[in-house]
Amino acid sequence: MKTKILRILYDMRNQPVIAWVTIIGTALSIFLIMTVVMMQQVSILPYAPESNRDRMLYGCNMHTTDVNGNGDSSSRLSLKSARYLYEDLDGVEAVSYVEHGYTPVDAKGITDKTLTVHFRTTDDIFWKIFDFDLLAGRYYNADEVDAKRNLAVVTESVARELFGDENPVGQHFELDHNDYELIGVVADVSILASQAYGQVFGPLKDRTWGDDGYFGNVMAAMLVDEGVDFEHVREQVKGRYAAMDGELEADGKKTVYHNAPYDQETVATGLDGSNSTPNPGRARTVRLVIYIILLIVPAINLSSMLHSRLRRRVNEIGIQRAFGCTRKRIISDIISESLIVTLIGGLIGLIFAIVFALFYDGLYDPGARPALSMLVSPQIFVYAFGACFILNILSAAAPAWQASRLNPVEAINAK
Amino acid sequence: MALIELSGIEKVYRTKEIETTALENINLNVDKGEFLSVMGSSGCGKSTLLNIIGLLDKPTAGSVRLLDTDCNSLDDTTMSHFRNANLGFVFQSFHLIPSLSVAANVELPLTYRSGISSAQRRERVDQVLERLGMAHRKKHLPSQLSGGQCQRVAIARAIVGRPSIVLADEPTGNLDSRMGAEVMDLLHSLNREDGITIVMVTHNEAQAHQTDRTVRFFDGRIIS
Repeated sequence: MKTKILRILYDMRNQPVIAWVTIIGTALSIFLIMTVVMMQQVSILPYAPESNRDRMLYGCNMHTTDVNGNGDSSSRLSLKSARYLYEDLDGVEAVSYVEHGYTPVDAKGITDKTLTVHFRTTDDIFWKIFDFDLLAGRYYNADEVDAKRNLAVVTESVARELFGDENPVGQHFELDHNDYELIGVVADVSILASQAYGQVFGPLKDRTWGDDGYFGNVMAAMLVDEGVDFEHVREQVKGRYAAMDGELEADGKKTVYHNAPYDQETVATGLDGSNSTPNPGRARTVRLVIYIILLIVPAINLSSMLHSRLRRRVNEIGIQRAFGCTRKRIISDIISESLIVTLIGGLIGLIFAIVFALFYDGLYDPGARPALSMLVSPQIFVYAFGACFILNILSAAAPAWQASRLNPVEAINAK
Repeated sequence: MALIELSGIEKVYRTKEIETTALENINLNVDKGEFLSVMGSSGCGKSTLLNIIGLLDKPTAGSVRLLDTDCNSLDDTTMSHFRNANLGFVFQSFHLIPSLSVAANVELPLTYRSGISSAQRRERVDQVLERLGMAHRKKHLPSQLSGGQCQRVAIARAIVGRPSIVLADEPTGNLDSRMGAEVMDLLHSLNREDGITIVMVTHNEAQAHQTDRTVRFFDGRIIS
């Protein structure tokens, strides 16, 4: 290792342009890859309040047709259909019925400032399956949800806007032209945690539309028991759909099952099965193609850089061969030496990618800058190392192989 | 006992247009502990012979036996291990690795050897550098050394692995006469004290006279 580092430092002194272009090229490549990876990972990796993303399943939509398969209707679920499909499933620890998405409404507190806030109504289980940080007061309970009381839990920022420095708990404020009592304050939630996101939360106010009452504004968010296969849950839900068909038959309708409920990766990709079966595999393939392009293009350039560096070391390679270095060792030495350079460039690229994600607004939804804790995770480092490793293999394998095939005599005598 | 046995060695370089015979019917034995010098005009095949003995090049025909091993049948990896264990090289242009310190250059052959710890390697390097009077320069880079010092380091690298055979290709060719004499003294002491068999290519008649035997080449053949 020490020898390899000495050689790298020597190269940096003696071929500074090639050495620095190699490092900067690697950094740029890893920056681009990690920016794409982080945009994806932010929607999948667990962080508060969606700390159990790997155990979450979501039932969002329903699709019906007439018995002949014509006349498509699809929409969010009503509370009735959500309960029918997702209540009391085996292997599910808890299910929460939540308004799908948020509604922008006006809010006015004692500061007399009118704000537009993102309002979302939920049941009481919502607070159990998502781990909000309760800063003051309390959450609403099942009775208060059933009574549809005008109670609100608001985020810290909204509380400050509405009530300034005063203790907001127990205060009343105007929300969408109705009087609400503020009962709790939670830490701000990133809009990137889209399944739990809101700025003001209140007891569930479900709505129903369609003649049969199956469509509405609700989704079911389920926390699956640890170790339970999602397919086990889906099998049960599929059975519920079949049972629902029995009821719908009288109205000349049937459901179309689209493999619900969906995991975090599927809903994060924007695939929620409204009237087609989501295929996260396709999105994965597209991402893979992007990663391959982002790796291959710089790999070709880095490969020619390494080739130039090795051309100056032909003599050295000949000497190594003379003193008993095997071809395999030549390859592994060059690849591992190149990996050190790639990792230096990769680390620089990763730091830039994190800084870019933290401070550049355009990468995510408006107002959705991720927190550092969302970006820096073991998975991100694994991805970055993996990208460096693949980039290194792509760029170093061919020059290393060529170097190993050099004729020792010609290499020693090379000028 | 012959440590190096060459019989019927031929080396022909072929291109599309031309065929050049570098060595023709070379039969040569070198005994254990012998110091052999090889002389001849430039381009007569001396270095090619040394490369074939050093298993860096393969003959077009003929057999190479070193330390009673038939080297013609060795694959590339086994040949590398054989070189590492039994052969040391000294070149006219020293061929030290410029990015590595004196100690790291000398250590190089040992790094390709399994079963020797880094502490043992360092100890061996220190011993050899001490013996060759280069211990005080162990942390220096080759660019900070004189030609004579570079060749001492190159000799240290050649013997650190305790080889049976050292192949020296004009080891004094790039040195002034005083430094050349010092290097020759070193090679003789290695030959006498350690019993290392040495094959040295040289243009210097006086140096050749100091060796046990001299073979002379002309146009790829041994003439005496």
